[in-house]
Amino acid sequence: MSLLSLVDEAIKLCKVEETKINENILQYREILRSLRPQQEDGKEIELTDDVEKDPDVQLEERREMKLLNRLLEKALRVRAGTAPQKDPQNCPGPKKEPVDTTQGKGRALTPGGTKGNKNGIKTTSKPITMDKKESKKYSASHLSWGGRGRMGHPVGHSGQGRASMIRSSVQMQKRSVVSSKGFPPQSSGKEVKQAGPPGPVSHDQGQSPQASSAHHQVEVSHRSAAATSFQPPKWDTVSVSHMEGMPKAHVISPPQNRAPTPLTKWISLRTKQSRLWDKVLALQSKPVAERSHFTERVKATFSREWPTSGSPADTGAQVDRLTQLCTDLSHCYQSERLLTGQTFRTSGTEPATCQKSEYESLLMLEGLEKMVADLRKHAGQLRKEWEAWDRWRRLKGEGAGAFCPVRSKGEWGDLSGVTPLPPTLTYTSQAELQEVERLRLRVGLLQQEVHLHQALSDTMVMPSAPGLPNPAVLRDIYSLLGEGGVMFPTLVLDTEPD
Amino acid sequence: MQRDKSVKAKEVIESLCKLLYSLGLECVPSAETFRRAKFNKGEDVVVEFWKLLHSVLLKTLLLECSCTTLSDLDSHVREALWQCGYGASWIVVTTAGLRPRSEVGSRELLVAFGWVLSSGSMLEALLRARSLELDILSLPPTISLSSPREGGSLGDVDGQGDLKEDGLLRRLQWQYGKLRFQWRRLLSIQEERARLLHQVLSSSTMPSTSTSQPSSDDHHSMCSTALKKEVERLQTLSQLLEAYLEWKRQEPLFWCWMDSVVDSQLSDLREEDTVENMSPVHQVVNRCFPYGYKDKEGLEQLDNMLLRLHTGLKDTYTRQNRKAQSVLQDAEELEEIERRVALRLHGLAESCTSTPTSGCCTYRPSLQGPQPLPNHHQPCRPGSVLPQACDGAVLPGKVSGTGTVMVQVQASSLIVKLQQREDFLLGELGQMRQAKRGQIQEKTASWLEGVGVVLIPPLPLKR
Repeated sequence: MSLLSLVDEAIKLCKVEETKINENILQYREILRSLRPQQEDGKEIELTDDVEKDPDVQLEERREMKLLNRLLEKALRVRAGTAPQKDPQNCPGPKKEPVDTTQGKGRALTPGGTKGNKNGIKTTSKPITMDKKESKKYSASHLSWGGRGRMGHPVGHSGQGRASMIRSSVQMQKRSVVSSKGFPPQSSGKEVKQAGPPGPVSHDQGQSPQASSAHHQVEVSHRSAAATSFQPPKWDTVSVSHMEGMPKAHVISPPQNRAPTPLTKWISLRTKQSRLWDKVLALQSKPVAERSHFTERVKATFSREWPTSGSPADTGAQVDRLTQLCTDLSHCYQSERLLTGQTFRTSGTEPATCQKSEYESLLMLEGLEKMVADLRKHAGQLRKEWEAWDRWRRLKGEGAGAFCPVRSKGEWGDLSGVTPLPPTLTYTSQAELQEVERLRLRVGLLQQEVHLHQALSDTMVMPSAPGLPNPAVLRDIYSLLGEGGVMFPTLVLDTEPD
Repeated sequence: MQRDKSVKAKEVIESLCKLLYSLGLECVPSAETFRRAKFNKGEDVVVEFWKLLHSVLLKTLLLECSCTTLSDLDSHVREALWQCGYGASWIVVTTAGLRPRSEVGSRELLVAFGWVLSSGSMLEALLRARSLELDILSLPPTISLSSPREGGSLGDVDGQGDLKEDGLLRRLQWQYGKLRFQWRRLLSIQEERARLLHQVLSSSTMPSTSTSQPSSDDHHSMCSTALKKEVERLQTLSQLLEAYLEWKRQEPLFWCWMDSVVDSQLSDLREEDTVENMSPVHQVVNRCFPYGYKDKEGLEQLDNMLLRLHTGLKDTYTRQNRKAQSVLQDAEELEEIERRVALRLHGLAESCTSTPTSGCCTYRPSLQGPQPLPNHHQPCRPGSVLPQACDGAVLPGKVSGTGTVMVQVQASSLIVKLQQREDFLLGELGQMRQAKRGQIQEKTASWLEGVGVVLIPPLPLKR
């Protein structure tokens, strides 16, 4: 039964590996997802930076904005009735994501949203849907906002889209109006077409100062200005209701310097980490004189008959390694022997190739013999070591209770040349990384296959002639041993007399 | 002067404790406990050190059973320490008998701990294990796939039994099929992972948008929980690496302090513990010791296999020698043949060593910035994350060579090596299978003829 258990174990190991890889994939996907929108923000920030560099600050506009801001705050408070809660500083982790809204989760926008939010959306859904032109315009910008690939229905969700647009633009403090409208180059064309008058207006507004409140107001006033060309009253209600839903709308001038975004933190941490790793890797190979001095001194306190170096665990590990090597060698030898026998018997037609293969196998056997001689020496040494250690081994029952067998874990110990710490693998392209990974896995799997084959050929012994096997059994054995179970031979009953 | 020394010692020990703690070790005693252990004072110190030793040894060695009470702890720790090659008097059985636990002082435990720390690269191994957990953007080792063969267990399966029981063979085939399916699955998801890993790595090299652009935190809060977790993990890892660097900086002082501990121990040496008086009790090699049996069996099996192999080779070799030597051949072909053979033998030898170049260890991948061609042959390490980090002062990136420590590996060279290994393994597998096919055909030829059945082997697949 141990053959089956071997294969079962191999399957289990593969499954474990699979779950690990799947876990990793999920983690990477999540990270990428959270990186992508921020990266897009990044793109827009870059774009808007140029716009904002214009130092034209219009004081009148600022005043207007402040007034408007105050009005809106009041309105929000009135509507929601929860004035003190809306602390923009808190930034509670409500899931106010434009992403969510764009997925058409409509009413149930965010758990962290306030009641006012919902109310607002409900009451404004009507005016929103009627405002087709507006929605078109915003859907365009909405589309351009994020290539998140979830906006399959820009028109239908334009309301939410707009809400999300506004919200996200509000939440990005340094954003100017331009960005809030989502002005990546590709959509700017559309916007310009559809919203002629607001165009230049927005531009002006976009040059407002960086004060967060100002931004919000700018954007709002811009919106109102834009809306004036279309349907002003609706816009007001819409904007107000939207404002409700955003505690952040309470821009009571939060501080300019917020905590860095997770993205930037992540990038900086990664660079820091790679720097640290470099230092660590450089340090690990430096010998420490005091340490070896200490080790020597402690060794001096051991008994004189204590073996001078190594340890029982090491010896055990080496025995394992040698056994594995020996198995490999013996299988290699067996197959060589069989093959030469076969070529000899079937060689009648091509003496040249036969000679070549004979020579090759001769060389191979020579090499094998050398390796075996080395191995024997090594094994002799190990046996002596083991005996030396064995003299110090404690008998069971002496001293204390049960013992546990101990095996040294892999790389711990004196395996020279093996880096315990992971070296850095530098690669240049995705294809390279994929190739490296593929090859590593492939080598591991091939190793597994080789082991299994060795086990199979050790256990499945062909019966001698008198014990005639079933043809089906023969077929199975042939396929398992000879083809790795992939293909099967055919057994044909030849009843025609020759 | 004394004050300075003791303060320094305390700092050093604290940095060690911090490192041990961040490595995930439990039961790390405080620096004060360490100091008190030196003077053999206090029962609680002893207990703490037993626990510490136990947790350290658990992590570094494969202890195959669990223990709860202190007395179990005692024997397990002693056994584990013996396995590590530590030979202090309180571990081994000498003519004076085994020292009971109560007599083992904290100073001895401290010295034992120092021993474990100094032999092998224990801290590095722990660091590596912990960093694997924390750094999800690293390439984990693939060693897990090939489990070590249990030498003795296969020998007792009755070969005949396989042939008689149809059901068994069918089940085996079925399982094999499942396994092959698993392999294919693994390869495909591995590709996906590598693709995603590359994307994540390349986005971490994006020019940072941190020009005071405080995007709000709850902007994508649901999605960024993954990022936040990653950030946390990275922070832990950075702390760990910093603790390690700090420790390495102060390491020499620690060993000096440990020297002083050994000094004080030697001064208190008991009569029975002197080097001369310690000699092993058992002079006889053959004993019934169940756990030593495993090793002994392994050795014997190894010897048997080697003997068989040796005799077999001798026979075959002498037979072949006569035939092949008499043939003259083309020099080029000879070379070709010799090269192939050398490659195969090298592959065989390599399979028992686990060098990092064989790709089975873990790596930290880093995307290389575009390099100008002339730099190709420079051994210096290119910038990994930020393109401008490429200055000679970073690292003397040593590559390969046995005995030198591998710090950096180029993907291209690794690919070449891995391909060689893959070719070797495929070649070996092919050889073995071919040999088996021939063997089966020959053995059954006469029987099949008698029954009138013809065995038609399947056509080889075009690979």
